[in-house]
Amino acid sequence: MGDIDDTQFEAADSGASATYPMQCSALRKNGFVMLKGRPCKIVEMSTSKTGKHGHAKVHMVGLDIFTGKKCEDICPSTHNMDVPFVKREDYQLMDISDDGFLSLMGDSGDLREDLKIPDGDLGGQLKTEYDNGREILCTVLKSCGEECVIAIKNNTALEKNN
Amino acid sequence: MDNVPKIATEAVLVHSSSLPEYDEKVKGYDWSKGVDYSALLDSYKNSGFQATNFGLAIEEINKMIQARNEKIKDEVSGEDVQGCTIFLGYTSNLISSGLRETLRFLVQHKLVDCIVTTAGGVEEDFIKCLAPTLIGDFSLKGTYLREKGINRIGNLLVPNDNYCKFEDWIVPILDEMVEIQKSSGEVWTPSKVIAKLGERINNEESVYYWAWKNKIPVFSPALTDGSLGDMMFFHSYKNPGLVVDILGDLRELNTLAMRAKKSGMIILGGGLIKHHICNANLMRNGADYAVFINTGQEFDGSDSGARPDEAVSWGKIKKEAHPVKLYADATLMFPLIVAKTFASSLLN
Repeated sequence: MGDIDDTQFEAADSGASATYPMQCSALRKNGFVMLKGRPCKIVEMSTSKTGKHGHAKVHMVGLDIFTGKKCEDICPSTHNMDVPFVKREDYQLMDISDDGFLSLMGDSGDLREDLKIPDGDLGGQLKTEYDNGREILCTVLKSCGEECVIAIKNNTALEKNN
Repeated sequence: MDNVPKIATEAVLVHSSSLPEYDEKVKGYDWSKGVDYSALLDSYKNSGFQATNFGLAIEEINKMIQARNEKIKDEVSGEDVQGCTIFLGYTSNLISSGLRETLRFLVQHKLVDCIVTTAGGVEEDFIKCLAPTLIGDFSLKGTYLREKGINRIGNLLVPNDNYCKFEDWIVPILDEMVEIQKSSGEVWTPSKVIAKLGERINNEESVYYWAWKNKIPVFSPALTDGSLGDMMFFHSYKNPGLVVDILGDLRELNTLAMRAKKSGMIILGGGLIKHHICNANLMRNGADYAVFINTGQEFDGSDSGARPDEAVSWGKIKKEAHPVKLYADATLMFPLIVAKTFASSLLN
């Protein structure tokens, strides 16, 4: 029974799957699909009809929703592919800690401090805007157990009131 | 003749001398003998035009077979090897046709030593084991057939379904091949791929089943240029990494030609298969025997239409050889030629 004190309790997910299956031929451009294990947004889709290459096939080009990297795959049109659940949520930026963690407040008023400044231009832009005293809303994308800030916008409503 | 002007008689009635090497008379088949197919085919040699070339092709192939049946001691290995290596090449449409059964006969009974063909020449043989090719018509309209999902090869038809069956059969084998490559590091060559598929089709109707069984190598440097290639292409998205090495096969084919005591080429059709075999024979300063059966014409300078004499200029056929080109569709000619050469020789 002494073991319980050493047990660490992680924030629990509901246990539901991060993806659901969908027939390849039902996918559409601008939809989401798992390509090579990465959640991607479909930017191009074409179908080769049944021919000497065998069954009809769907060719998809997608951009990783987190890294923006191009991924592609080909799948027979009658097979299923995994579609990721994707959730977007806006958070108010409250603070940036010294080691680069963002202090974000959600709609319900609770604070989270587990997300870092995003890499690249977005992160630079975020820091600049914050340092200039602007009120910033961070759009956080959540999918397949990954979360990150993918866009920022000025919270003009809040700024007006200041 | 008294009043005919002398200038005309001198022009028209030129006294002829004879050409000693050309003294055989033209004579066709004598039907009073009844319908004797064997004698009928024998009579072609003296009938002229392509019938004569048909007769000459039979003679040339019989010379190849005779040389092959002689055993010669190999200086390097000390073993007795056959006196002539026969290279058989054919285009893919011939496998789609009924000639496939004749080609299988040759391979089944080890009557040839190596095969060169195109991707279609490989896959159509396997597909026939899964679903049949059908007799159609040259005049069937493309748009009509596309709607019905049927592909046309001349006056033959291959439904799309046949290719779907081929895909279902081959994809697991491609998975296996990637696995073997990753675990053993061995790289696949087209001939190894074809041998693997021949082993797996396990069907006595297949040309490549017998090629695998009798260890007759099948070369196809453009193996990806067909349905097989399409399958490999799509498969590479799901399970990448398969390497098919054409250089490995080139070494094997050229070595086969260089080690041959004598060599004979039987080439049905043009294109890659014709050139690839001739080029391999360049490595041994030319083939000793050659028969081309194709419908190509030389006026456009193409290799497909080039006569054997052009190959002599390259050193692909020996100067002393007596090669034959038969201008004809192989589906008409080749079974009859096999009847008078390989089949007769085997049964005697």
